[in-house]
Amino acid sequence: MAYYPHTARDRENMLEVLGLASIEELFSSIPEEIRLGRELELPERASEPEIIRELGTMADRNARMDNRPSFLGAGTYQRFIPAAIDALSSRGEFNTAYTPYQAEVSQGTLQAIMEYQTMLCQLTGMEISNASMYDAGTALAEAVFMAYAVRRKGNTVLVSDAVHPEYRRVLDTYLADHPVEARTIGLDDDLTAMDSIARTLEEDGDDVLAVVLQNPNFFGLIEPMENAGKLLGCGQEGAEKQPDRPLLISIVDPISLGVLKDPGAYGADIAIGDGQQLGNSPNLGGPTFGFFTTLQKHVRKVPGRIVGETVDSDGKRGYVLTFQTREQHIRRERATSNICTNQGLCSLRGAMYLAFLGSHGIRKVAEASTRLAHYAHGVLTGLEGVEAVSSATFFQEFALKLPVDADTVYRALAKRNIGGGLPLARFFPGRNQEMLFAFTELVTKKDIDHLGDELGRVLSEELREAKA
Amino acid sequence: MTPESIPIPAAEATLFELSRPGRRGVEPPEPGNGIPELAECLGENELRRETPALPELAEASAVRHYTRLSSLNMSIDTNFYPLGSCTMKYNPRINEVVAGNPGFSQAHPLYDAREIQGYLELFSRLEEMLAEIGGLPHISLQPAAGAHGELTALMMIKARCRERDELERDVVLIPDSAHGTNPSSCTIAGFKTRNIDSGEDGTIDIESLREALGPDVAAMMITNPNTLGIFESGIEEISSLLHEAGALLYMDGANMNAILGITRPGDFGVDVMHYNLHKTMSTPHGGGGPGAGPIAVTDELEPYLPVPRIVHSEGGFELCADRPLSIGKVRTFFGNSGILVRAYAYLRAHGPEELRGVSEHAVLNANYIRRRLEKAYHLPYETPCMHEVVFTARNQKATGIRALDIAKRLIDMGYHPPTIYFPLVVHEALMIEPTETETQETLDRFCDAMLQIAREAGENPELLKAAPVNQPVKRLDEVNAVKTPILTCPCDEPVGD
Repeated sequence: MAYYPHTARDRENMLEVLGLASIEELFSSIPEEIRLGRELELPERASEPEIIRELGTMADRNARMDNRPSFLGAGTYQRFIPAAIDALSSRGEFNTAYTPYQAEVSQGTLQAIMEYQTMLCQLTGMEISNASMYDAGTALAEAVFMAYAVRRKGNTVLVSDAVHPEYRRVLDTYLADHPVEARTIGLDDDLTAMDSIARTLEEDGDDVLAVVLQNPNFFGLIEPMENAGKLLGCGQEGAEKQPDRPLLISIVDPISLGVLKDPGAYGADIAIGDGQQLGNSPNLGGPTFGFFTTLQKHVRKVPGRIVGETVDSDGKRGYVLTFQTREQHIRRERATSNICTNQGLCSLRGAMYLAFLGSHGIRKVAEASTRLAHYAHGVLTGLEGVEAVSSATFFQEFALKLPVDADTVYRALAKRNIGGGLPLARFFPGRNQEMLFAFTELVTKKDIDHLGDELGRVLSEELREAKA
Repeated sequence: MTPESIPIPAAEATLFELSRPGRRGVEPPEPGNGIPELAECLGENELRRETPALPELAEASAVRHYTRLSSLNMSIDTNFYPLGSCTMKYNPRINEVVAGNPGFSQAHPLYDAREIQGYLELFSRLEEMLAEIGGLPHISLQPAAGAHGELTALMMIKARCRERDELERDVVLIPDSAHGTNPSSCTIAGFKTRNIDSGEDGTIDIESLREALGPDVAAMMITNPNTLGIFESGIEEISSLLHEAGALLYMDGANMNAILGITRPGDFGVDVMHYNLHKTMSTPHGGGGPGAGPIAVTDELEPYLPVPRIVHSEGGFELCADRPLSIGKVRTFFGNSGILVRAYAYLRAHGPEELRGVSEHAVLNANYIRRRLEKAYHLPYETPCMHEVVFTARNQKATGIRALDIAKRLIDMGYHPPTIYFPLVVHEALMIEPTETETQETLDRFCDAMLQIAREAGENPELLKAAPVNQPVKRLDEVNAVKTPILTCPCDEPVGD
């Protein structure tokens, strides 16, 4: 099965037009010495049903979130996705189009991006949004680069230890060859130690170009973002003036913004995050998309594509990619970023998600998640030997300290057909008995009660074994 | 039917114009009774004052909105799309079907390796196939796009310089015909760039290369075939010169569709390359992404690859992150896993012979177009082309016609325009890449349209300058878009749907 349509006769006709005797002659500019001269060693071709069977067998060997109660989150969540999204985003007119450089034949994609940018701004309270980044990790790296370009002072970025460790690892890789250095801010009750930020700013304020906080943080806790904004003096400069202070980079959970205070309200300069929860399946972490929002005055420093509204030669409204002189295809080595292909179809799904749920729906999803999580907190901390790790307020996720090793519990729950929370030692060595549980609108009260029962049984079994 | 008689699709109102306060879309699940109220969960000072002002539409209205928007796009599924350098080949539906299997789509990225053995097996086999195709033994599937693959490779080259105490090597050589992402990626990885001129035949000028080489050069980035669609036949000399000077050779794999099973980068001296799976391996472009840009490297560079690495042991597949020389992670988790599934399915649909056939027919199609148009359009280089052909608008200049006008007139005729004004070394470039999945009939109709446009350029140039006329909008004012930026939809004027 190959996807090229040529019959033997087509080939002969075309070669005749070219005045060639064989296809081989088309490759005469490739020196003989470097020709492969053999067939590639690849498996023989498979038919469609064979491919479906082969990949189906592989797919069956992966655990899934949708066929059992699942309480794993930590940045990637299983959420309700309106059925219409699959149907619409798989339309070939969206899925098989290129980047909308030719505006007149790409108005569908361009308008959808314009609407996406608008909805992301409504959600985050920020003024402008780009068209998407690869993921939250690379969005964070780009945000720090942008802060460096805006602030033009300082070589240190303060990063809370409660930022998702995967995002932090990506940032560290990007900073390896960059003058900026990331310094970790420690935790107090699993919340970012604001007094430690204050101290650093006092001692070394001029060297700090940005502060990175995540809200809710990696442990699901709500950070005092307003205090952070005040501490940095955010939002005092007015619309035009560039800030002479460290920038506040806020990593946000887009669903939480259905109820939680938005980055615009506490004066964030850049708000980024991962858009997976907006209409995209977990997909083993990709493809999803990163979102990137900021203030209008920074528009010329923003990475990636931006769509703007304009008029055509008849004065009719239309959309184009704009401020392209920031980008690699024009500015080359002086571009704000090297990003070209982004995560267009995933951000389109994000836009559809927000459009189908609307104001009312996004609020309901956020409310349901936090209410279910609070119910679960009561149930699970009622189990013998289980206690909350932090006393701070949480959104939809919290860490519990278990009386036994969390990884063992995770495996035992899996045997009971329950997807457990994240054993925190995966990212935080030493926190072996802690597990991070997540709750979305897709779990039910019954699922939570069931988790409570089964976790109780697992713990007593493990404790019994440990004693024996 | 003439282009002028094709009915113009109506413009679509924005979501915000279609919105009505209080209208309900899709209802998310209700949490039920017996759980705490919101006020018992979160404090006043944590809550936002107003619910985000998202549009409020009925489900049916939103479906109609997006369906109408989709109809305003040209796409591979609807039109011939000969966009040079982008390899807009048919995107097989089977790839979408297999990637949608919940065993792939519903896997959480923080599952333990034991729980994703199917994924790891697929990754491992895909790595093997890509290694064989490129002749470079080690693969990282983590980069999310071509530019991301470039950056990853340059970070590895930087790390190697650091490890060898050669940080004075801070220059990367870039041919003047390179993609813009090449120099841009260099800057982010902490390199300076130095330009290499193209010679008269459109390939790298060896003298220019000799002059540019020195102890400060870490690497050179080439594209082969290059962006003019020409194979760098001096590639062996180029790689020897670089290696003798202690520098590495990077290959941008954007044009791999020309050489599958015919020649391999690893066999002509490339040390590291990226693949664009959304070009060569048929995964859809999605209106701008997601793609995937795996990189392939030599044994020497292998220790620097991103973590985790997939290792096959007796007990199954494992993830290894304990690699002291690794640059770290360039993306969260495993990269664009769902795209990797699609690429795997594409490769499985081809045996060795069929995969070579992909390149043979891609090159045949490009040369056929070249032959049919070479009298009407100026060819800047006589050198034979591979999978794409670059013309210019020089022959049409007399009546004031530019490449842009030819591109826009093609829209009237029902074709997506070729890439224009790239590569930068060609004045008024028109870069056509038909790919292998087009029939001779389609190519003939396209060539007929191009020939008609060439005639119109002489006889009635105004037709070209006014084009396009049958799209929802005519040419758009890009200057105005920057001068008075409107980057979010104004939300105040509701209209009916």
